[in-house]
Amino acid sequence: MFAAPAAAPLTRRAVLRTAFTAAVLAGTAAALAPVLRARRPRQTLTPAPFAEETYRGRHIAVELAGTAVRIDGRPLHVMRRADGSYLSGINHFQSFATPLELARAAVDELGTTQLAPAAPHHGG
Amino acid sequence: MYTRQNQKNLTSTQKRRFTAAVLELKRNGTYDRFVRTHDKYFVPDRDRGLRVGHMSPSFFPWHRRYLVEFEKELRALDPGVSIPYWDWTTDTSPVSSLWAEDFLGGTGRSSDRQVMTGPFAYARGDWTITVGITEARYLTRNLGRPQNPVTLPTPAELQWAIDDPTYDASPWDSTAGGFRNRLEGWAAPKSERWRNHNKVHQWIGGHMTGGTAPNDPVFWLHHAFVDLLWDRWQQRHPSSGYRPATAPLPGDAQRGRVIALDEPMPPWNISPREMLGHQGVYRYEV
Repeated sequence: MFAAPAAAPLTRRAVLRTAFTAAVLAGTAAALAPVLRARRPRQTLTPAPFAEETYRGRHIAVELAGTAVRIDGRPLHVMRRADGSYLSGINHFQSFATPLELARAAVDELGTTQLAPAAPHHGG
Repeated sequence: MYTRQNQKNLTSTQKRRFTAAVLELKRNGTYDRFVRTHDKYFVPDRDRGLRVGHMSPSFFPWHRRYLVEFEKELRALDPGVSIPYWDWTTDTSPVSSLWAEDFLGGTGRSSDRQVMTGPFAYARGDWTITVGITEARYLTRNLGRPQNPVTLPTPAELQWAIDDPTYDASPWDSTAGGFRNRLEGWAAPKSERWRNHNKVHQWIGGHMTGGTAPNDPVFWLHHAFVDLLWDRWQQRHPSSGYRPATAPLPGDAQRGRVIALDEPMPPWNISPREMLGHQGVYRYEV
């Protein structure tokens, strides 16, 4: 049995890097807002527009400008519902408001198992 | 004509014959073909593609045909076998006879969700997962999802679906009203309104929550009950029928994405109309 859910917050570095990269890419005032909120922006040369966190000891990376999700570096197949919510290859019969919630639910379901390096996709 | 029985009434011999036939289909490769088919036809409703198995009106007829095809394979091995059904509104315990050593085995162990008991336990050597999206080569379950508990559908919740006189409604997807979606069970994220079929997948956990759900043989017992519930809805609403009767018109966003009454369902090219009943093939023990 697992302990109660305990999501480690995004590391400050990850927040700054991802927010700043998004801002650079988008180049809009709206995209700059999170950088300003972060107060101490630091430019980075790493073009990695992923939000990252550690959840139950697993590394989650969620693409900020898309729907790509990785758990411990392995890709998780993400799909969308008509209402805009997200489904994954792990949770096919339940959907989530954000890719991050979807990723955490996948970690919950995975237990100690890893995703396969290349998961089968639909419509193949 | 054969009978699908309530799983709780099976004798130990019937349970053994059912699981033996399933294990033989696994051994000869037939079983994993069925797992791939289910995954292949899961197309979500934001996609522009044809939805045939889920989030669409053909949820019932597609799964009916899918089960009949599987059952044909079982009965080719042992003509005395059929798919039992599991009434998840009454047999709700994670330690009921369904999950016993002599039938499907129990829940997974806490560390890795591995099923350790029954004929499908990995250590028995007869049930290796080959079509999966994780590295686990063993069957996984997490009955009741104890870390974030989910309950099986109640009789009232099921009745709420059966009572809807409309089979399905535009836009024919996971947001639609009507019996089909009430029974398939889509809701908004975080809503308490996840229902029936979907909630059962969630309650079982492990492989049953994913696209390769038929890796867990309980899939067939779950869907046999879903199939029976379509009968129950038809009996309750004899003047209602499958919808849409005709394909959505040009300009309708759902055109080409759902199956109308007389359109062919892949991969069998059988129409929903041909699947509306199962007289002469099987019947349900009541």
